[in-house]
Amino acid sequence: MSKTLMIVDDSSIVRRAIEKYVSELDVTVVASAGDGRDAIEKFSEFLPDIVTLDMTMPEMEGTEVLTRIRAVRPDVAVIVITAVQNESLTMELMTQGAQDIIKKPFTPDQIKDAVRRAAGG
Amino acid sequence: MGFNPESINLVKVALAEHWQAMTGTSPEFGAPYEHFSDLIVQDYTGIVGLSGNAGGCVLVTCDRPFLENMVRGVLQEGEGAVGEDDVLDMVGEFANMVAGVACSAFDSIVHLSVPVVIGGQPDIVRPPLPIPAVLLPITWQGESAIVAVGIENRTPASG
Repeated sequence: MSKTLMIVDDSSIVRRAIEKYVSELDVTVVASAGDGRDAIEKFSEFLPDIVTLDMTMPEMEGTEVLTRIRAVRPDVAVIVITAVQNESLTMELMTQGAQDIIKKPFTPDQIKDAVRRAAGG
Repeated sequence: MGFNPESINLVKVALAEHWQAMTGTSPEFGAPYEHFSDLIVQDYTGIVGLSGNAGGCVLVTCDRPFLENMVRGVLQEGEGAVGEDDVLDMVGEFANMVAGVACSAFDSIVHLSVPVVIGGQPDIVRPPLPIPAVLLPITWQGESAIVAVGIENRTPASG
């Protein structure tokens, strides 16, 4: 059975790009959200296996979204997408349970590889 | 310490690399220069503020065809029409991308704001750019853009 994926990013273009990049993988995009609050609501509704999560969004920062969705489903695989990457942020995100961290701008292959890993192959 | 025409070379290298990976083609860069006054902007402008151990902002400004080409490149689409929402979205992502790359030049904790986007008119924008800011002209697929980077390191000096 294919894994389910939710895409969280305040950019509609980024959401569509990720959906396009993963279309050839064995995952099903079940939801997408443009801000943190919407992400938490949809996560609770769809309980996806994998989430791609932007860090900088209106309403709620990605770090808080990460904490909240992992409280709902601790085994969710979260791929964090961030424009800023430094050692302290990486440590913080990994401590909070992020499985992968991808720096913006990303390439299609980076997204596909991370989603493949999160889907277990 | 602030940004200067030498340190923006790091941005050029990283942007060229990312652009190539993202769209399959590379932009051309003009010579960077320091800018000491208000900036005259093009049709669309995206601004990202920075806070933390480095502060200031990054601004990108360009005309619509530049952004339409970016949208098509990111979405791997051909010649289809690009809507206004996507153009505004793209200029914000463009600013975000440059801000992320520019931050990597500072070995410090930096937070980025959600992009502010302006479509259409203002001849002059007064963003919170430290003066002078460094401007970098970009040409891509026959269209031009300006990247403005004004970042100051706010880490207290040691010793």
